[in-house]
Amino acid sequence: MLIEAILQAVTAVLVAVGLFFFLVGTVGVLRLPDFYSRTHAATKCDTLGAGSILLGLAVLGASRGDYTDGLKVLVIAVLVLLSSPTAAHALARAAFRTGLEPYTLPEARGGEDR
Amino acid sequence: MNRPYLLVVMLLVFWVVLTESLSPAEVALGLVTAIVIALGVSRLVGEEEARPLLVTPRQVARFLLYMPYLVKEIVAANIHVAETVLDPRLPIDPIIIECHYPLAHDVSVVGLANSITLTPGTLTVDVDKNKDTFRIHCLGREVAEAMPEGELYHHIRHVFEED
Repeated sequence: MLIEAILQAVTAVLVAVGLFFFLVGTVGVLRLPDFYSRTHAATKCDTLGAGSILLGLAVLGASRGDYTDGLKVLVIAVLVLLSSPTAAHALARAAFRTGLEPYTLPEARGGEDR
Repeated sequence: MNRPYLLVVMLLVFWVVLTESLSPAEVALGLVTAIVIALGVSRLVGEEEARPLLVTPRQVARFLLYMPYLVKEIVAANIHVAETVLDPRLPIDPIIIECHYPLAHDVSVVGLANSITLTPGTLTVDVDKNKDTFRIHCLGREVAEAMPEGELYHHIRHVFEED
């Protein structure tokens, strides 16, 4: 009983952490100035946000003595870990090859060689 | 995609694992879904002949040892994004740099490009496999200056390239 309660508390913490980073990712997409920097926020925060929530669900399954759900959730987590940066790369590469210039600070424009 | 049926089989296995069901209706639905996805994807990647990513047991073992480091870096990357976007001043100074990371295998290129994207402040924009050049978007100058040292590059070389 106690173990069940502890595991449910762990689930709550993991899901809360996941939600926090989804929120941070959303704020990042809204506040950052251009496509490339927004992609940073969206990719990193979606990966950890989804990973943390999925891990929380696996722990929730384990608290009920159900481990097959946990394994399935881990498979999905690995898929997210692979697909999220791959999709970001596909988008960023398409943007770069179409000629989208990245945002730079006003004082950095023209001043430095790179 | 030179062998679309292989992708259909892989997607169908994934479907069956997730649904935990071999009932004809569910498998049929999975098969239809897998074929639709394979058709859609084949148009996206069909121009270049896809070479299989050869992975040896040693590489898998070393990758599993690399995972804790990668997870630690992903957490650090998220904290970095949180600090940046929740700061009212929004302290960023973006720059695109090119780094020379010679790698022999496709799987190492994929591993390094994705690792760079998931670690703090960096995003892989383009990879030139002939010149072994990675074009990387950096959120700040400090990150950009650390990239040529190639900390991740040496990790990936150890995981996928060394005997």
